[in-house]
Amino acid sequence: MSGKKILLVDDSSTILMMEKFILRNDPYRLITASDGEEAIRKAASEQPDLILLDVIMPRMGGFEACRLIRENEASKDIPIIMVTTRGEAANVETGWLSGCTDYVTKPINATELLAKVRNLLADTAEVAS
Amino acid sequence: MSNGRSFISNAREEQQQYVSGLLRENEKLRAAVAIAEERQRAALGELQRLRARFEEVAVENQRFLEQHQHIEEQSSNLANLYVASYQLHTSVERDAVLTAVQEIVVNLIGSEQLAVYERNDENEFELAVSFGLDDWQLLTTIGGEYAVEKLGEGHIFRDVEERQPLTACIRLQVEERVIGAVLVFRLLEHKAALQPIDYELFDLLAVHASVALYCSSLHARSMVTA
Repeated sequence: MSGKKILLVDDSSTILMMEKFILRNDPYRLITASDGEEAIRKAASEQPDLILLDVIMPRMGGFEACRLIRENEASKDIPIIMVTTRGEAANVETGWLSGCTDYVTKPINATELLAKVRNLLADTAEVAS
Repeated sequence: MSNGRSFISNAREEQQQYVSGLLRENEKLRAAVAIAEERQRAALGELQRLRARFEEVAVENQRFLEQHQHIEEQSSNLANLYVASYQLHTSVERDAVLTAVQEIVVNLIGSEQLAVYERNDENEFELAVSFGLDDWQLLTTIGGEYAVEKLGEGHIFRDVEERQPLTACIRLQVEERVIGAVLVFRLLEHKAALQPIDYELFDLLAVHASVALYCSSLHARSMVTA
């Protein structure tokens, strides 16, 4: 788990700060992006082990960014957790269709987020080994 | 005849030796069984001790797990409060403070319907910013200023289970003067009820948003006079 890189994508500095706080006790390297376009670029160039992706953002939203990350050969296998204020079924379904691996709802529950992050990063470690 | 007697005598002797051997062997086996039984009793005792210890460790483990969860929850709550406080005091610009209030309500409390009222120079409550609401909702459903005037004496929490439109009215006050209010309307659909941390965030908003807005108005005035 040591040194795993996580890309945090949100236009809200409040959420980015919260996510950093929640993940600060685990040995992750955290990088950030503030919209979908930047997320796509950094997903390809930085090769993070996991992406936390907000749904509603300026310029390009999370669903489209997720779809485009999946279409890019360089980033298609990176697990993506969608972070959404909309927990209703239709919205979650759209997330699955765009290719996300999992999702969490806002306000972020720290225990839930940590469990999902640890679980997905453990999975990627097993695949890599 | 004497050969016959001798044969019987030998046979008896062999039989006695055989029986003696069997008895000795039996004695050895009894001793071995006794040792085995003793070992079995000791093993059972050890097994019972280990089972009891295992149960103790399981209980201890559960207690540590609960403590760990409690600490993580407390840590998360503190993070919420720290982030909210930090965001409110990052800038002295009024718009930035209002954005911070909005972000706290949307992202940390979990409502996409809010309105912030400020008391103007004429001592009237004025809508400073709203999010996720239109004027019709503000004026007819809730009553806008009426809500602030009537409920501005403190937090008013409705039964969230009934999905009442107004969840909270947070009075913004600097010393004795009420300078405004934050109205929080419906919670997000997936948020069933307010959590203890939400009440702490309301308290934090009541103090820190008030001071931040007050400082921003002082800053704005100082910029005008400068």
